[in-house]
Amino acid sequence: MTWLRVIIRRIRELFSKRQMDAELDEELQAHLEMMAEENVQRGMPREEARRAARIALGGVEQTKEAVRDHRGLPLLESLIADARFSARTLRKSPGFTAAAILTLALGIGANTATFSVASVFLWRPVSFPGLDRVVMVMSLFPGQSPLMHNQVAPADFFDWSRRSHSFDPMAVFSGADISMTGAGVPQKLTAYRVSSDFFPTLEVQPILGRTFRREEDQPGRDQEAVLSYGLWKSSFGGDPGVVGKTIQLDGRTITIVGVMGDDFRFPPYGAQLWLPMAMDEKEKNIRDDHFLSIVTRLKPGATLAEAQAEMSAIAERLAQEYPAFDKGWGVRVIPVTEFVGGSLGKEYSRISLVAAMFILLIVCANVANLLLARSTARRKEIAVRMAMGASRWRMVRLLLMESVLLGLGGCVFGLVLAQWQLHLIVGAMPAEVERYLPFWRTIHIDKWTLFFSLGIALFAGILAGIAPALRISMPGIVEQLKEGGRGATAGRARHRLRDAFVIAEVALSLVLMIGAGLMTKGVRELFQVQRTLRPEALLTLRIQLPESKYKLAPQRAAFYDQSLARLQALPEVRSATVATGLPYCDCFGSHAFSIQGKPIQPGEFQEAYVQSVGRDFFRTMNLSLRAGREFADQDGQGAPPVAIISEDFARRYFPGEDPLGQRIKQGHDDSDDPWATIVGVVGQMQYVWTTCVDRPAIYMPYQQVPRSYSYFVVRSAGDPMTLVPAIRSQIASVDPDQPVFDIATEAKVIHDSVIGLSYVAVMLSVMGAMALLLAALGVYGVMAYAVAERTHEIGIRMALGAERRDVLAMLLRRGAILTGIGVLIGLPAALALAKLLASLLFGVGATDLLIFCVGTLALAGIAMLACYVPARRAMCMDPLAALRYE
Amino acid sequence: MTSNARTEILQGTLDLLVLKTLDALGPLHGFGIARRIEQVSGAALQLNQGTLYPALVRLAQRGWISSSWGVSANNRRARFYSLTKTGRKQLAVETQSWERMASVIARLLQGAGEA
Repeated sequence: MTWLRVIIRRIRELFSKRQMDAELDEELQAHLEMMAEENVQRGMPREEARRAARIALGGVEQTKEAVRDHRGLPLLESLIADARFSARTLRKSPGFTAAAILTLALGIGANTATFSVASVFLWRPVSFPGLDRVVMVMSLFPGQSPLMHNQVAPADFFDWSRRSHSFDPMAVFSGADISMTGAGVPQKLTAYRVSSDFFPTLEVQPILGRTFRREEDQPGRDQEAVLSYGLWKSSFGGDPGVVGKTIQLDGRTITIVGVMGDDFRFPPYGAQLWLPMAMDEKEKNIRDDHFLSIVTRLKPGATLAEAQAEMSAIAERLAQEYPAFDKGWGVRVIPVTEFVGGSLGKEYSRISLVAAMFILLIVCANVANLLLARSTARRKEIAVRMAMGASRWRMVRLLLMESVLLGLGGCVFGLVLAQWQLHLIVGAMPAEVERYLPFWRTIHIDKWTLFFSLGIALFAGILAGIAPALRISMPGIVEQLKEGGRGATAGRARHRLRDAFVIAEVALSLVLMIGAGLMTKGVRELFQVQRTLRPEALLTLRIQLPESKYKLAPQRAAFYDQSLARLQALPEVRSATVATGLPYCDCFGSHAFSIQGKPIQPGEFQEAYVQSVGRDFFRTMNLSLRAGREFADQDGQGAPPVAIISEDFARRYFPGEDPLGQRIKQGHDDSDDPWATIVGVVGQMQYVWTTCVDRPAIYMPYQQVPRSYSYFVVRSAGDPMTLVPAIRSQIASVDPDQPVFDIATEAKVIHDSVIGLSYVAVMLSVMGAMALLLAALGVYGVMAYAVAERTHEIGIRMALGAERRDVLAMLLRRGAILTGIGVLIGLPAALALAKLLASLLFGVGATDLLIFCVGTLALAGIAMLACYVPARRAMCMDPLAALRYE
Repeated sequence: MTSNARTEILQGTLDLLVLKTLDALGPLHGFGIARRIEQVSGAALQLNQGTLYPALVRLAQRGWISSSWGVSANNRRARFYSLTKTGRKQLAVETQSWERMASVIARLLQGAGEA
């Protein structure tokens, strides 16, 4: 710890300089006098004795200097002196300074804003104590990308919990939509059933009352609820005496026992209410239905990798013990941050961070070019300093100080820009989407962001300054200086450096532009896919039938029958249907299914989206029939079960066969569900937009499999939103207690679903445009400089008879070569990025020729334009004036 | 000065000499330390007295010596340096490592002479 003591002392010494100097002075004087006295005693004359003492000491001033070098922080002090000097120099050339600072501010601002958003996604999308130890344990489908993890079957959960040693007790939760009555209008709530370990595991406390007790997750004793802050405020007016009151949930009387704080939003899908999870013995033994999510903490000392290894081994053993259910299924342990932020959110955050870093690099290249041009003007000053004995390192340090100061200036303005940008980004998120992003409102410029932008500013300052500083302080430069300023061509090496900057800029901005183009096109494609759907004329409403009132299938079917009859009678309604899922609704769980006569091999995996729909579904969704027939009146309750499959289902599972007449059912072939005969094949519908999940669809008539949750889908002749009051009153006339929620056009459902993606696309486009502009400025700067530098040469050429065209061609050729090299370097990098994007996003083709061509041509065009402007100026020069040009 | 016979102080050994001097003589001012080193070494060691002061600063920063103002033998105000507890420990450490080093070098030189 000696070094620490030394640093502390040295810092203290900074503040007592004057006193220490005086003391040193006195000490040295005393030394000299004692020495002189001794010399006198030895018989020297007084004057001689003093002189001898000074010689023995080795000079008073030299000693003082040597001591000062050891005191305080000489490096820091000289850095401060450098900074003062640089600030003065910069102030003397305000044009240059402003240009450099603004350019840097663009880059630093873009990075700061991106970092603010990304850091929240990546590191703290939720806030629990000890967040970094909280993990989720998920199932992994056989043969599935690890990006897509799945919920867990109860029997697996109990096995995992018993056999693993890396975790604190595992807590589980599972979503449940329920209706609440007894507190104002009936409303549907997003509730979560949670085990009694749930709140203790997350180490969170309620702000009122208590959370669940252990005995409350027994069936029959689960009569308590914990409210979210939002629900407490909206439905109970923030009543401090709410604990102990009762509410009706799906017709059961439930007591409110606690209220959580505003900052507790977990699970992140808009949890409004938590209920105890009471599983009976039958439920606990379910092995083929995956509906639980596990959250737990790593035990102290256990690492994520160890926990993953342990769980993988357990999963393998379970696969041997229960091959019919668990063969091929894996386990994945992920940090809870990844679960909440989403693995795609993580990827997109990374992409935008990389894009922002590209902008910064382009900015640095531009500033470096500015510095290089300026350093040419300072060559004399620097040569003189070096001739006087300043070391090269000292010179580089001085020049770097200048660019670092520019970086810090850029940081200040960059923060202002970032604040403004964040304001736009955060404010523009629709409330419907925001409730799935519990952390969205917390995005702001915090201390980490400040550190980050400061770091970025230093990095940018040094990066932009290092090449010019090394170049200008090169030893040979002094000799070059002596040759005199007037040469026909100057500094080849300096040219090479500028050329390198231009090439880098072109390459980087090409990558960004192509990335932005692909992303934008991909998002547009997402909307295009659904164009035949004409989603703007489709109104969607969700409904959740309470168990208490609609326990039996005929009750549910009757509700849908009556409601649909009334909706179809409305004048503006073209058609109306029910469905259990909609394209892009994020509400799909896929289900295992079996085909009669084609048993699933253990370890194989076949799942499909299973839809329970009304007869008019295909007409409403503009899906055309490819074979067989649609559902008809004869397919009612009690009639032989029927199903319709999608085209890709037929292709995948009945290649070269006639699917009509084949029999399929949901679940494994020993499940209770009856076999249904395939009576028709319809067109394909894109239900989700990630390429990670691509599954075919099975449709069944709701009369035969009426679900308790459904969407009403209404195709309207005019503006669908005007139908809402009529639809509400029609449904209320069937069941006045039945809430209707999530009312939106399908266009809005699609829009909200891909909004995160649209955000990334827009951000990338903005950055792509910035990159293009910056690259154009860079090319222009270099060419303008080259023309100015070669004015004399051009004059000579023209005097010797060169045509204007030749001059123009000569200058453009150089620009074209530089751009060409930049493009050649940029294209492979862009291709790599494109491959990454294509793996993440449906609709992005890794080799989208159009985007690559348009991107390249646009960049080349702009670059050539940037060359043309200064070249034209050279072309129009009067040769005589050019010759005289100094 | 005829410096052939006088040895320049080895890099880093000045610290050890200062610590040892303070250990032997107790609190002492800069001139006293310089004198003592010169006396003990006879004429063998060439000490530029000025170099002593940066060394004193360095040792004080590391917390091995401390200083206070006092009055010298002939009634002059002077800064007196004394060894601290950590300084004494450091002296032991450095003495030991110096001795080890010296004996290794001596053995090496002897061995080289015999070969």
